Amino acid sequence: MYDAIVIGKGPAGLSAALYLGRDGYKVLVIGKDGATEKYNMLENYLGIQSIPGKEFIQIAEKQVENFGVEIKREKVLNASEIDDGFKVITDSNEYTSKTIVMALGVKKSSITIKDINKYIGKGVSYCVSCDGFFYKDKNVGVIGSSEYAVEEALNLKNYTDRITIFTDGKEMNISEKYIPLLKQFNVDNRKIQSLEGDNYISHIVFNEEEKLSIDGIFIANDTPNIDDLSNSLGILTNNNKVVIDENSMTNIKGIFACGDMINNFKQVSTAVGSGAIAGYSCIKYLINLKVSKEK
Amino acid sequence: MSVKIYSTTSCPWCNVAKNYFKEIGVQYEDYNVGEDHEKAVEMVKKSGQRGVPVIDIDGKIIVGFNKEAIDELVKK
Repeated sequence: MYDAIVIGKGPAGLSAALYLGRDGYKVLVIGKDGATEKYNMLENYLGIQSIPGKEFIQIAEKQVENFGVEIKREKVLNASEIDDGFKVITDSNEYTSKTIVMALGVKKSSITIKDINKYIGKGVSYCVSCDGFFYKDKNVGVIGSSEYAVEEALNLKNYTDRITIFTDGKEMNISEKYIPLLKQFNVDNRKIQSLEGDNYISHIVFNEEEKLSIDGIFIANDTPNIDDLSNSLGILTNNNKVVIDENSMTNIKGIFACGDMINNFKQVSTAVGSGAIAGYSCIKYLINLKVSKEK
Repeated sequence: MSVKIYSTTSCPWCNVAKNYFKEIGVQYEDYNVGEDHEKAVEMVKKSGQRGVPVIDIDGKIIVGFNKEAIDELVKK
């Protein structure tokens, strides 16, 4: 079990990992290339005249790895609480940790299907663990085309076998591990026009002539964003930002947040600063955890 | 004051809601709609929702965990 899993390997996540790793904690950073790698040139970070974003992150990665931090270039698909900490599922592995530092960056655009918001709680859900129960033996769909969609469909199998993955006009884009897992589900590649129903959703509409009867839809678009992971963990958000206390801890004990998820002024410098605070707070939390276990 | 929380065991927001009521010192009845079919039907009838948590405070329904809405009803 890791002492800390840092989700996101941008400046905030790597800064938190640096503090944790330098203090000797067992730390795993999980993430794909983020926004900073795309900066042509970073020129407003104090002490560095100018540097391409990609190079800045490469140096930071090397710096944290020198303190024993592991970095995995994987996609985080889900995170949940377990008895003595947290479980994080990625597109290729499962990890456990005592704490989590969330540094996911800004929210990605969510799915845009006509009338989708009208049916939230009335057939449309973003949380299988919350609402899957209501669809026992029903005909349900998962909207998405990545590993995240397959993972949510697998979770839905606890409730029903009548599951279709709707890709909304895209091709499935999944890693090798998920190809055999996908075979147990129907896949519908048609572009979705809208949703239809009276009080509750009853049909997915593809075009004027084609519609399909459905009891419920779960959204698992792209990779989980702040809202998706917050939902699966019960983390409070406000105006697309994670709510934290003065120690960068969320309402869930042991989960910290930093970077663009909490900052109004979204800069590399503020991300690094907030990552340092989250890393330091996480260290204090781990010390207290150890002390309380020894008592 | 009568507080009822309709929940399931696997729902993180249900735990957040229950912890919040503990924090503010308000007692509640917890109905696990995953096991109690009758209460599940009652919940859908009251709220029109197929999702948990649903919170009933003296007959006023709150869907999901909404701290401000809870505070407002509890203060009354």
